[in-house]
Amino acid sequence: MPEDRGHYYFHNGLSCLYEMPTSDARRLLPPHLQPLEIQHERSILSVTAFDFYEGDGGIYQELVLSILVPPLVKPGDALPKAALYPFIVATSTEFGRKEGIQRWRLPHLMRDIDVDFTEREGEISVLASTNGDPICEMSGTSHQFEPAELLFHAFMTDSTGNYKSNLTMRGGGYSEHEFERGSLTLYEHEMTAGLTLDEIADYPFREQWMKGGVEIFSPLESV
Amino acid sequence: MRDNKKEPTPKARMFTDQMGKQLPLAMQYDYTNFYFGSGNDAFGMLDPFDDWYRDSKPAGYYLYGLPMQGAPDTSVDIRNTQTDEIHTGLLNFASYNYLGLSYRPEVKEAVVEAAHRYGNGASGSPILSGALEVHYELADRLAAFKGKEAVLLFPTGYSVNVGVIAGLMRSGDLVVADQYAHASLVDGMILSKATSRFFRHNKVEDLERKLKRFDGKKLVLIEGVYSMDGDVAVVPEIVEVCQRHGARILIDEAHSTFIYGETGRGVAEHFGYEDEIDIHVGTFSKSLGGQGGFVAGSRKLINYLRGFSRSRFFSCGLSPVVSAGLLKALDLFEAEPELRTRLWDNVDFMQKKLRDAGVSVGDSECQVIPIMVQDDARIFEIGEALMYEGIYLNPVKYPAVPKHKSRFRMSISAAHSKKQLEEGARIITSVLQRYGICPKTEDTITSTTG
Repeated sequence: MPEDRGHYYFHNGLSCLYEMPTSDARRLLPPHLQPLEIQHERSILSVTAFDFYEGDGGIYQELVLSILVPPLVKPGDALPKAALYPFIVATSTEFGRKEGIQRWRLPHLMRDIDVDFTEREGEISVLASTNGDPICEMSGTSHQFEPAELLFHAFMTDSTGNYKSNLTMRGGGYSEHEFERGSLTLYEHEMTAGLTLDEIADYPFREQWMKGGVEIFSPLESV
Repeated sequence: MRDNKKEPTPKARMFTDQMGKQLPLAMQYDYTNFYFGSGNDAFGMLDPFDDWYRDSKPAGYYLYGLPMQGAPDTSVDIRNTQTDEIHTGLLNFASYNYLGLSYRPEVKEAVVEAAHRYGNGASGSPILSGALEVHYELADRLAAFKGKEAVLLFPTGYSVNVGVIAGLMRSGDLVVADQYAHASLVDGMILSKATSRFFRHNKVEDLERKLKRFDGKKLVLIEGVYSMDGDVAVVPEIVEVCQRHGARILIDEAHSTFIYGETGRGVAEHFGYEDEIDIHVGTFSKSLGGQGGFVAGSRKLINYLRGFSRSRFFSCGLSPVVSAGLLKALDLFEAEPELRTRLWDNVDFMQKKLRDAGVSVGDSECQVIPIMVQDDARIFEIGEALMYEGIYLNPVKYPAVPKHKSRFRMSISAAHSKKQLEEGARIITSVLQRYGICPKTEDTITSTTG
């Protein structure tokens, strides 16, 4: 019997949070979701990159742009660390893309991207591009790595409805800090079309880096 | 084969921190997890929050708001709400009674006298019946002290910023604040309905980026001393950028009035930029040891704000009892310049003691000293240890400060004796050493006061 949950194993997952204009966030979100604001009129853009080496989507790299939203907290349920709405996902393979679209109803850039990870002592940088056209350059740094299991709510919307998946990130090493040491450069690109680029912070207020981990999607629930 | 993958063990009700110590799971969450809830019931979040709060309070959140048994003196008795035990004679480094004026006998006498004359409250809005003679006297004295044409009094420091910003700025205008600006400044921005932006802390290049994109009325919000880090605004650079872009400036000197500058007027005086800054805000609850706040500026500005600061005129006037105490505190401040001298001596003494012992105090330059712990999970445990060792200090953790920037916010007072400071430094160092947060050395904290 096929496993209902999706498993995606990665060497490195880097997710950094940046301030963005709430006006952009509202435009990108479906009507039933509201952006989470870090400050008045400043919402949160999450830029996440993975290098998957095994799992339901095979071997591929992925870049995800999301907006943080309030989680769907219910009495008795486990409290999630955060909730997000991925408004555009890009993958390096068609197989990975189909997995994301058909199984998890995630909106995708419909062509392959290149994602290069460069890891140095305490720092990792990611360059994402399509045929040499850059999408983003992101760097993140580490604090202290320790094993972690984190629960997130991921929201998806397509023509068939609105959904939520419980997203578990489990890793042998997870580092998180708010030392504002990383950086971000976003470029004009089809993937960044909904963003007012010069209004997005060029440094993250939070840097999250997981090593040797697995991303587990639970089956979609209608919301 | 997926089944062969080694996955970390899922967490139980406890978790293990970086030092291998088991901590309550409740410590993995904080207030931010309970801001939004699902469903249509406005009380929908109460149960999940209550579940967490009941777990988290004994885990350390109880350390907030412990009832003090007397005046916020340098030595205090505190009731532990977990055990009902009274911790007596704790060295108090938590109160921001920077000049030790709140409990001075002269102040108390003035308060009692005012109570006989005016009773307890003002019993009306300051634009209606809540204006008392003592208010006029206090406003005039402050205007003279600040070297400004006029001053407007507010019932709290919070209401000054909310009332001034929302009273002045409108939808379509731009308000830009330092990212570490106090909540009252932020709430003023929100209430004004102006476009709001934040610039990276003390980074004038970022401020300039925000200002130059905008045509129209602009107001920039800074603080003299930032309350969580004890560092100072880079006033000359900020003024230069603001002048080039036609932006007005508000400086909140809550933690710097009566402390910085040649005559104690604040950081603006310290840098010699008092005339270049348009709006000067101060509070009565810090150095003067009372309650309330004020805005100082031109007569025209104050007259306008008198008519448009809703947080002021929809509140009751400042208590006359407190106002009389403030006038006496102002007398003492002006008559005893040695108070400031002693405060700065104490600041230098404590900063040196802590730094020499390897305690991280960030970029603090003044009486607000962050004792950086950076261990979010154990900050409460350390706070408890400090209390049991004889020190009252408030822990500050995420979301009040960024993750892994947990700290104790220490306030130094002119009233602290050198012996108290030395003992405080010794205890702090010893507790932090025990937790591996500052290095152990043989000869840290050598007595210099006998």
